[in-house]
Formats: sequence, C-alpha cells, structure tokens
Amino acid sequence: MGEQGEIILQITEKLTEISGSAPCKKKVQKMIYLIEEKGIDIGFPYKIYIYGPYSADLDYKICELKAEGCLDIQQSNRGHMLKCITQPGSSLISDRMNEIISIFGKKNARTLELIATTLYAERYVEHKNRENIIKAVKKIKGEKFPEEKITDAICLLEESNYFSLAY
Amino acid sequence: MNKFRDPIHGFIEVTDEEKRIIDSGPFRRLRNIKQLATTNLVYHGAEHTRFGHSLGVMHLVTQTFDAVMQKNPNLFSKKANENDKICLYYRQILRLIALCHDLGHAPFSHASEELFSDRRTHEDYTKDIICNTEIADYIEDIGKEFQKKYGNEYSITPDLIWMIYGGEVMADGYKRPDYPFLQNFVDGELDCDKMDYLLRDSYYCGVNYGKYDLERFISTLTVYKTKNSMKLAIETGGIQALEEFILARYFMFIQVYFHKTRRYFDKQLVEALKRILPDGHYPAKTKEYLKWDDNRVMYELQNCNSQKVRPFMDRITMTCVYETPAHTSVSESQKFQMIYNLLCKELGARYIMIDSVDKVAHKLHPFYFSSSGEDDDSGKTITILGRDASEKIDLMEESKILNSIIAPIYIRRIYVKKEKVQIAKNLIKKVCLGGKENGRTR
Repeated sequence: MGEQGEIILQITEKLTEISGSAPCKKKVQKMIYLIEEKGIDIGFPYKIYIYGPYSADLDYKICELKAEGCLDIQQSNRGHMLKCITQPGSSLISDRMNEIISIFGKKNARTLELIATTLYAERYVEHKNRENIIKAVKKIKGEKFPEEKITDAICLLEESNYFSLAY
Repeated sequence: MNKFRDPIHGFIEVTDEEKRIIDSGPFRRLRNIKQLATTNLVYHGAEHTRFGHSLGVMHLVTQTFDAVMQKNPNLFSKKANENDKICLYYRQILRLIALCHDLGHAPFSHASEELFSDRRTHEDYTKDIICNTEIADYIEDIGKEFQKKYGNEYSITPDLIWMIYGGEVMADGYKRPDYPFLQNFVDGELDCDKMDYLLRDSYYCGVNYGKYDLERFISTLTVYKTKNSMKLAIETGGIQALEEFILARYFMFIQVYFHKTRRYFDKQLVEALKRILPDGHYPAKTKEYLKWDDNRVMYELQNCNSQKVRPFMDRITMTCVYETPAHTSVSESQKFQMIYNLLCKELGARYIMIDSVDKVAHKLHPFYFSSSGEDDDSGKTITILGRDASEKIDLMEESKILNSIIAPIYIRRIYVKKEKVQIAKNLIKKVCLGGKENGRTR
C-alpha cells in the first residue's frame, strides 16, 4: 500500500468522522488538493482538467486500495462513496493536515469543488484580484456557481491563509 | 496529395503543407523512437516507431471526425455553409494535433520517462517543439492558408494546437464546448491514439490481442450534447464494439505492455541510461533533448565502460520467480509481501528486484468506465447513449464482461538473479505449500 495509500485511508477516515458519513471520491480529491496547496507533499500531481483540479494518479491509487481490500467503493447517485474497511489510524495526519481537514471537512463535495477551483484560479491568474479570480472560475465552471458563492470561497481561502488579495 | 503506404491503414494521404511538418527534423526523429521500447527483445517484430503511429493517428482522427460529423449535421452551426467551414477548420486542427502529439517522446518511449529532470513530462517537450521549432512555422503557414480561404476567424497557430491538445482551459480564447470536444478525439478513453496503437502494436508484435473491429467501432461513435457541453460518446447499440475495444486494451496490457521480460529490460535500460545521460537526466533544453533518440542511446551505451550498462547490453536477465494474478486479492497481496520479505531476508535485497503495475502507461482507469454523476472531474468518463439519445446509460450495469475486467490490474512481480533462482523457488514453494496457492511460482 505504501505511505501514500495509508494517507488516503487516514484522510478518508478523518472526513468520515468529521462529516458523519462516507466521503465521495470528489471530496477526497479536493481535500488532498487543498492539503498539497499548503505545501504538504503527498505526491499526487494535479492538473486542471475540464472541470477543475484533478489527479488521475490519486484516482488510480484509490482503485488499488480497493484491490488491496483496504477501501470499499460504493456507487451512488452522489458519486463513488469511499469507506475504509481496515481501521487506518491517524499517525500520518500532521497537525497542519488536521487543521486543513477540520476547516474544510464538513463542507460537501460541491462546495469543495468550488473552493478547490477558486484556489486553482487564484494560482493561475496573473493579476490577482477578486474580479479576475471570479472570471477565471466562471471560465472553468461556467454558470455552475453564482458570484456570491465564488466570493465566499475567496473569503474562506483568504481566512485560511492560502493567499491574500490586495484591495 | 502525398501518400504514405501504411501496414495498418493502407494509404494515408497528407497535404503538401502537412508533409513539411513530416519532413522536419523533430518529426523525422520519430523514425528513431521505438513505439514499444524494449518489447522487441520479446516480440522481435516490435520494431515499429512513433513515426508510423503519428501518421496513423492523423489518419484515424480524420476518419473518426468525418464519421461523427456525418451523423451530427449542423453540430457547430445551424447554417450549413458555416458549419461546413467550421468542420474543415476543426478537421485540420485535429490532423495537426495528431501529427504532433508524440513529438516530445523520449528515446524508447515510456520506458525512460522517469529520467526527465525538473518534473518535466514528454508533453512539456511536445509543447515546446510545437511552439518553438520549425514546426511552428509550418503550422502558421497552414493557418494563414485557412484564413485566406475562409476568413480571419479561421486562424490556426501553434498556440491554438497546444491549447486544444494540452487542455489549456484557462487560456484566453479557450472555447467551450468545442475545444474539450476536439480534445476527446486525441486524448480520452475513446481516442484515436489508442485506436491506432492497439492495432499497430498487435500487428508488429505478431499477436491478435489488440485486434478489434475498427470500422465498427468508429461507426458507433457520436456526440453527446447538453446545454453546456459536447462529448464524444458511444451510440445506442454500440456496447459490443466498445467491449471489444476495451478488451483489446486489456489483453494488450497484460500480454504485451506489462510482459515480465519487457518490464525487466525497461528497468535495466533506465539504469543504463543514468550512466550516459548528462547528470543522469535528459537535457531540459528542448534543442539538446532533440539530439537524443534510440540510435544515440545505443551508441552511447556501446561506448560506456560502466558495469551498470552490462545487464541491458549483454541481455543478462533475472528470473521472475513469483507474480500475483492480474486482479490481486487481499490475501494474494499479503502473500506477495510475505514472500518478498522472506526472499530479502534469506537471499539479500541485492539479488532481488520487484516490479508493479502502478508505474505503467496505458493504465485502465476503472472510474472512467462507470457513470458517476457528480464525481466526474476528469471529463474522461465514457458516455454511452440510451435509446433516447439524450439519456446516458451505465456501462458497468450493461456489460457483465467489462464489470469483471475493469477491476484494477495489480500485478506485482519478484525477479531474482540467476544464481539464487533455485533457492528462491524452493523458499516460495514452502510458503505456497503452507496454504492455497493463488499467486504463481514461475
């Protein structure tokens, strides 16, 4: 399984604890992106696919964990729900990771999708201001998220010290 | 019109302008980059190169695009005249993407990609070659011809080619839903890259695993259109053609791409390359990188005094003494680990090498085969249309065959040096006799 696999399991378990239910794959994808964007290298490269930051390697690792019998994946209309089969412990979750998971862990997958995309947009735009970030998010997501929600995501990311915009 | 006689597709036609790209230095280099790395050491016919493959993909992308457009008239514009122009424009763009998509490959293709520096990938080199070599000029010339003929809005530039192929969704001018749709033809689960290499690799290896009904498969492709997106999809009734295609990938993976001896020599090649590359990595500068192809590698290896190149150059093999089944269960995984630990303890780690499938190209991504609603962030999930063409059906529910093979392929192998093989086999036999034997002792 390796350390990468163990971290995925521990993050999945932590998310289950915090939100009270098994997270979907998208939620885990976005959470790991948010963790890595804080400089904590778990080893999954993210790319901006059509619908937002995504790691194909992470998806494949999740499948391997299922093959190893560590993770159950149940398909529902909300997506692929991940459930730890073995109790993973928490030794690999550092205090910093814990902090990030507790800030974002209760949010649903759709909200995390917006937050992760907003963060990606901020990293990408040259002139970093609210207007440009909102424009960039709309470029990726179209009209899926209203402007107020994107603004909320920007505020949350600023409060969590991912970036600081000059006003 | 110029013609290339191709063993897989027959005559492949190229325009004079496209031929300038094919005659360029970076494209000619592909004649000396084998498609399948060291596979020719197992299947001796596998000498084919990325040159033929690139032409093949261009040919298929044309056929596929034409077939899909015929089925979906006025896809891009309600005005037939305008739609025709856009189709010709996109067709040319796809042909150029197909021609250029493998320009950045390293010698011996995927085998040596871990030797890129600075987290580069072959796509980074491809982008640079498209945008900053003579090929950029030839693309610009084609673009100017299009503008002259059809209007200023039909410009084709190297940046545009890369924007679409590279999926640069944030770039100015990235057009949705058209560009993600075009990208499907060259980078997706149903793309022309796979369509070509399965047939080509199968033919040159002399196997039947990769063969599938290409014409039938292309005939099942269509467009799934919603308010905000357009996606290449399989039409109703095309499940069997899709099953055949996916099975072809599956068998080629198991029998050829992940062949135990090929994988071994790929690893030895990487060790050998570290001794001849400057600082053990391919040059970061594209101009220097383009000087490396299979021939240069072999020349440098022949003139290298390091002992580390000998296993590859002298074909010194290690024996695969144990491997897990294609879809490994938990107990098989545990047994593998136990055997590996035992062999390390009894023989010493320096006599042992392990290999696993997680570092391989051509992976089958199980999530791409099931519809998952909100989960599809990759945009690569295969879409199959139901009887009502606006409705999607779940491949995993419709196809029992695919359900069983789409579980992750998780083969792991243990190789041992010749002098310790018998001891290793005896140790493994004792372990296996202790319980039900699921893994295979070789």
